[in-house]
Amino acid sequence: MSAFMTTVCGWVVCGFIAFLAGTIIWFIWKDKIDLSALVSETNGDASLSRFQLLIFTFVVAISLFYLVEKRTDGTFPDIPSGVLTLVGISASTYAVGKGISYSRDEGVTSPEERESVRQTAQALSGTGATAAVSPAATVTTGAAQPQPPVGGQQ
Amino acid sequence: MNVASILRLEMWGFLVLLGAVVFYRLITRQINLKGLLIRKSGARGVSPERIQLLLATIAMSANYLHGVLTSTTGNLPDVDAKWLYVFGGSSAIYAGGKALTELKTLKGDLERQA
Repeated sequence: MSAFMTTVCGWVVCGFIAFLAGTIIWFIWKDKIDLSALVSETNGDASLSRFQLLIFTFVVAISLFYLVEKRTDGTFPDIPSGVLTLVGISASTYAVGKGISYSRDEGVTSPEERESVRQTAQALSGTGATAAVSPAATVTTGAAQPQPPVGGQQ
Repeated sequence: MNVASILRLEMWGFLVLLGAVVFYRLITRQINLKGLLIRKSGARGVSPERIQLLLATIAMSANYLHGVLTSTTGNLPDVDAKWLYVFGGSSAIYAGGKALTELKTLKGDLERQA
């Protein structure tokens, strides 16, 4: 009975993994999982750091799976300190790069967004409204209230 | 064919297909690569520090994969210190170049405002 249950569970896991893997690949192929911005930044440009991380992810995944399959004791291989240092260098470079990029508006907004904010600010400047423009939003107090003429007739 | 063999095939199939789909989308530009090697601020042109970091990344990955494929112990191979120095230096050049460009741009902005 125990051997039978083991076999059944094995086939269930096998079927589930196949279904999951097939669904993911199919959805990616049919664009239901959108990968177009996989390595893109907020401003629309591609990021070298993200591209680097994509390459490392595939390298580590292939390496790990290859070695797990090769080992006979059924355990995961240890991760050497050199690999951790490598990933640490990559992650630190990413963090420093993002810190530098995000310190300016150009790092977090697309050219279209900046142009839209600029046009809004220009339109508001003719109304007499007080406007504060930031990459995220344009805040305005509204148009200035018309003042009655001093000493004028009602 | 037992369950373990089928699972092994499934996992290899998934990894290979996922890699192939991502690679296909990269080369057909369905995954956005606009500006990957372009300087993001200041004078927008091809950035040498980005090119050298990309080359270092590819070389590092190829070297590591070679180490894995030729490994006889079944353990993940350690990364040679020389390669770590090369990769660390390459990353430092990239980050330093980026910081320098941003500083120059910022200085230009301040001078224009003054």
